[in-house]
Amino acid sequence: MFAHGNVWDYWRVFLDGALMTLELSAIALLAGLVFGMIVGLARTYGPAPIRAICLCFTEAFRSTPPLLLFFGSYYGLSYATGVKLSPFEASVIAMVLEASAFISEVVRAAFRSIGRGQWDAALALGLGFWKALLTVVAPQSVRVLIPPTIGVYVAVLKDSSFASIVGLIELTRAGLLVRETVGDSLRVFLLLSLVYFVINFSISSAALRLERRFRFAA
Amino acid sequence: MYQFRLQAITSYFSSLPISIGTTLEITALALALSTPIGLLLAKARLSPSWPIASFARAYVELFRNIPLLVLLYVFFFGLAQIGLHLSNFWATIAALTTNAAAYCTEIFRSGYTTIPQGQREAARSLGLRGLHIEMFIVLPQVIRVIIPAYANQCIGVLIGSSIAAVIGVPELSDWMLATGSGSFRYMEAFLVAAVIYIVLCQAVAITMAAIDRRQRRLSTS
Repeated sequence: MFAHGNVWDYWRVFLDGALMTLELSAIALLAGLVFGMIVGLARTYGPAPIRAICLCFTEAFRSTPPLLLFFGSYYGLSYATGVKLSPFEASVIAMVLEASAFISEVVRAAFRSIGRGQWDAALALGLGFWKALLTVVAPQSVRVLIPPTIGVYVAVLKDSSFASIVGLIELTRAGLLVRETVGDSLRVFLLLSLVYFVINFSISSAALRLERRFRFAA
Repeated sequence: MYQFRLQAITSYFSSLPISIGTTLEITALALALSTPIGLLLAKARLSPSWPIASFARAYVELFRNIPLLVLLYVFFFGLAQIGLHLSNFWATIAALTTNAAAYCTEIFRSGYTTIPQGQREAARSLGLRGLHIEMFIVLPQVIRVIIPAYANQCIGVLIGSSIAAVIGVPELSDWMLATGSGSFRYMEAFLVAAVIYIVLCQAVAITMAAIDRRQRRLSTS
């Protein structure tokens, strides 16, 4: 194997890759929050047929491995629609679908956790459904919602490593590229592990602190 | 114009049962190896000795926060560089097991914290000894509590087993990659594989829910 230089010489590649990973997972989280909120609310309060459709959506995308979602949205959609998606666009689609499914489950659990009495009281005070949802139930649910959502973010960030199989140069792909140039597999992959660990561990530690704070406020 | 035609990939269906079998084999093996490790690490985490407890904590945090795919590369390519050549099958098992053990530790730990101290005291006053108390009094109750969480764990490992395709273990995801690139029918291959994964996950969920219900019925009656 040809060896050119040292792993550390390529820190820029790793940095760019890490930024791409963060960008991709942030987009997935934000879009996933929007769709996941809609699906989760529809699953909690919607009429029976809509509940069933949303249940199928959640179950389907929760139990399809991320590798398949990236493959399906990059190769599958390109061939099926004739529109050539870039690796980035395909990765966003795959990750948004996955994040939405995860978050819809979190949203459902959070809104379910609000006691029946809160609804009864709000409706007895003469508030309509939407008013009661937005002013009474939602503010209480958000507190329950935040810690597991950060958990979803960490999960999504880890699964973004599968974007490397459709050729998007995120952190994992950057590592694979450097490995091809330098030929030092062990150091490259240990460095990758370290970078992912530092990112995810800081996020989940922050989540834990946030959770404690919310618990005391409750 | 693209037409959805499942017939285009029927010639690939003959290798499907073996691929599903390999997926299940990887999942079962990783679960069988990671569960006892998780149990031991959970006991270590709850141990009063802080070096042991913090070792277990460090293990959990480390392996929960590294993506499975990167872990797989470490075991497959990284270890080969220092002379430890794992086959692609065993590298997959190693990556899945080390990762699943971290999650399993947390499941067992939360299970142990639900057992009231009184259970141990009552067992001791009946004359049972340390290991017997753990085996016959505490562990059965822990197992009963963790069944729902463990069901999710099984599904997580099943989904995670798809990493094997990246290094060419002939399992279900690899079948999809091979079928897609062999027939250019990517969408069909994806949908077939996705439906099989969904069915397998639902089967695991339904089985575990049935076990959970049975346990509850037996423990209340």
